[in-house]
Amino acid sequence: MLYELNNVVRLFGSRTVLEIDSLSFEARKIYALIGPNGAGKTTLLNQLAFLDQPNSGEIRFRSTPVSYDHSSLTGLRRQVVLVDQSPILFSGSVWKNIEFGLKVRKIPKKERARRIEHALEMVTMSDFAHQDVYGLSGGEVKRVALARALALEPEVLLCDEPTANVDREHQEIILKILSHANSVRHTTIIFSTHYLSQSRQLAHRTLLLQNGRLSKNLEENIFQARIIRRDERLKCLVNGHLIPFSDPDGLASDNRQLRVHVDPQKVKLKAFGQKPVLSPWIPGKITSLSKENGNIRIMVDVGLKLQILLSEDEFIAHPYQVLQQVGVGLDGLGVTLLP
Amino acid sequence: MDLLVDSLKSALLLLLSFDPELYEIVGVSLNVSFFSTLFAALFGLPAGFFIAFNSFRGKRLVMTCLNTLLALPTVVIGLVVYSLISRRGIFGPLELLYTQKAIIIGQIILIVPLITTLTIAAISRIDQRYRNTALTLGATYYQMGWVVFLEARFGIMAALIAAFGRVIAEVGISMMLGGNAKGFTRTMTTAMALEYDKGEFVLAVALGMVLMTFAFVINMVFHFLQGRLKSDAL
Amino acid sequence: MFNKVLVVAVALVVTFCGISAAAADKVLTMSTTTSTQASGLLDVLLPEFKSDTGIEIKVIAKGTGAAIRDGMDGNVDIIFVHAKAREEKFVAEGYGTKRYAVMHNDFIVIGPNDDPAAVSKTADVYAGLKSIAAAKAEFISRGDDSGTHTKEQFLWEKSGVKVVTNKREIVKKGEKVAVGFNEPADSADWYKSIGQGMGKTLTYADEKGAYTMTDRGTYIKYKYGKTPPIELSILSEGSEALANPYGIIPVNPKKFDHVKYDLAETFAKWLTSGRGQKLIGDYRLLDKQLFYPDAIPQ
Repeated sequence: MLYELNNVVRLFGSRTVLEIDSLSFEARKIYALIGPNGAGKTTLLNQLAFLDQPNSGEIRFRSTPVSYDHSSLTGLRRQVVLVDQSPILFSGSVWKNIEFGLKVRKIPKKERARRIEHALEMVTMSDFAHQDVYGLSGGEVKRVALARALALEPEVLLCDEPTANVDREHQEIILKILSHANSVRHTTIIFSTHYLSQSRQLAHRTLLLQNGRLSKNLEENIFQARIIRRDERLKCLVNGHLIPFSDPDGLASDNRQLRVHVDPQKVKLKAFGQKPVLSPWIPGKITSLSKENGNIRIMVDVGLKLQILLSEDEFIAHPYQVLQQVGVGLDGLGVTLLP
Repeated sequence: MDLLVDSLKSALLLLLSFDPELYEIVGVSLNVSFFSTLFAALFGLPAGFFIAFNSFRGKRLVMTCLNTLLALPTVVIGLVVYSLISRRGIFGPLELLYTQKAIIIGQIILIVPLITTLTIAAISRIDQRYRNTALTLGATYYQMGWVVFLEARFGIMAALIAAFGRVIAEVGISMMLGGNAKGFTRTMTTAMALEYDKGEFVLAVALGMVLMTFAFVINMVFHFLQGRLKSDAL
Repeated sequence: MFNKVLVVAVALVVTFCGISAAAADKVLTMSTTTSTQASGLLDVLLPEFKSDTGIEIKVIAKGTGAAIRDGMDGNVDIIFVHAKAREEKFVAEGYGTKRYAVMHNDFIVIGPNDDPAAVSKTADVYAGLKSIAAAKAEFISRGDDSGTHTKEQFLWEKSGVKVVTNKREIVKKGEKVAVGFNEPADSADWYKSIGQGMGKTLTYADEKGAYTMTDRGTYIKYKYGKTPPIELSILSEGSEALANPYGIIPVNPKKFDHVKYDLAETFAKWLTSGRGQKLIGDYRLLDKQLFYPDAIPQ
């Protein structure tokens, strides 16, 4: 195990930004961290980069508990490099920026030059070698920062939204570079992103982070959908039902086929007893109930298998049963369009 | 109006004739101001660095004290140091009074708070993310500190320039601790005070012109550096 | 890299320029008054002394009181002032070894050409001051507790005019002090105490067309050395009371064993020798004699 996190909690003031009961990362794999803004992705990456320290809990790196004194940290940080979402470049030339980490590790001049040139080639910025960083575009900055990290040939490469601010053409290149670093150099890669597509493309494992906590619910509740125009507005059709949705990535267009994700915690249930289920509620039958981590997981068959999470309190207020006929209610916030 | 114009004409002549007395006075000012800025920086830069980088109990108090010290009038400093280095004072036997060393000592006291506060400001202006970036690239804390220092270099240079400008133009300390002795401790400012008192405007105006030229150049450099500061923030 | 080299180069140049005098071994520190320094006499005497003896003199000029104080504190090796009573006290209290009488200059009473108080017709300065008081003619006083001001107060007292002590607040060395000044009684409408130096006092009096008492040197400068010159004229001069004697006193090595007594003695003796005295007598300010040697009168 490369990383092991146990009961890691990070507070900012009174706000809990990260609360991980148990999480581990294996070496040589690619992990994707998915989650909305404010989910704690950056905070988690900072913990893994040893730039920040949890308020409580333990992090182990290579089976040894991390000790947060200066000299231990420097040693650890020389194995793990983090590339920020909006990276900072030091004033000076591109060359000098990439050289920094190499100089710090006392790598000799010839070797430094070789690595810098190689790194620049990888991000297709060889022409920029001696250019001053002042005036570089957002995408160029990102690529330089990536080159800066790659030149160090680290054990672990952490990337906070590696393709943010980068144009389409170079996004693909960056993803390829990450894949290459992992397959050829066996660099462990942990990156955060908004895009499920990237995680599917690259990652061996995907983690979902929401409100600082890990959620297992990514593989579930994803359904085929089609966007249709009805009454001047775009609506979403899933399995014959029109459902409300939210579209943060702006993917909806008339007649488009895509997928939706339904947040299990934002689905409402209503017991109708013997009466017929009224619109907009969707009729379904409960097929399983199980308890996990303070929640009750309910599987409902609405023609598709839908997972729902209720808190224990909610369930105690409405104790559902297997085989019970229920109405399922969706609101726009719980349904997200996916590419 | 004639007074000013005539004085300006005569002053220009004096300057261009390389009058040795005039240039000796300028030399004393430069010498004293240079060394006081240098020594004040040796103390003020590390102090500013330390304070900016660390949080410790009483940091607010220290900052408040420093800001208060900025308002120390030169005559107060002159008076206090005078009482210490006068023959009857504790440091009397060191024979410091009425020497350039005494002026330097007084001026150091004057600008250490200035250099320190401006350094703190320059360092604080450097985003925390620079530190983290250096650290994640494997820097030790010292190496990281050096990175921050380099990023803050324009702000720090501006601090030193401001300090130099402050001391080269002050008269309270130079007069009280130096004594305006011709050939020994006569600076541009003390000479101007004397000549004005004598009613000798020509030398005073000439010196004033030199001083203004210095002030102008210093300010130009200062603003240039500040400009670089802003552009670097992008 | 280039920047570092530049800095070092500038440093060296500046240091070189600034290394001033005190390379000389023999340096004598002397305190004197600002008016003595302003007279320009020292600019003539000191180079001559240096070429004769190789001794360089570091001149610290302040107000009379401060100059004497420097002697009492041992901050200087010798004092050269013009306040006879205080000088004698200085020696009596053991701070100085001996008062050498060097020279004197004089004070004069000046005023507007039309001379409303008819001062020019009086026999001596005392009578002149009495006239001014009687006529309630405007009189400007330095009012700054200086040597000149002290003299002025002394003359009023001795002139017979009724004098009272008024408390005034002046600024000395950046601090406000309350001092008692002796001023003519009931003089609020004609006696103005402005708390300024000699030059400013003359300018003020000139603008007001008022009377004032001044040292001859400053008057000469402002009458013959300035454009435009002041218009006031000399209305009373030559009274013995108006003489302003200068004394030079080496600081007592018994009190301060670090003082350069030998050098001080050398200077004092040189100043009162034929050579020094001649230089003093020959000194001209704008073609006018300013100082009259006392050790060897000419």
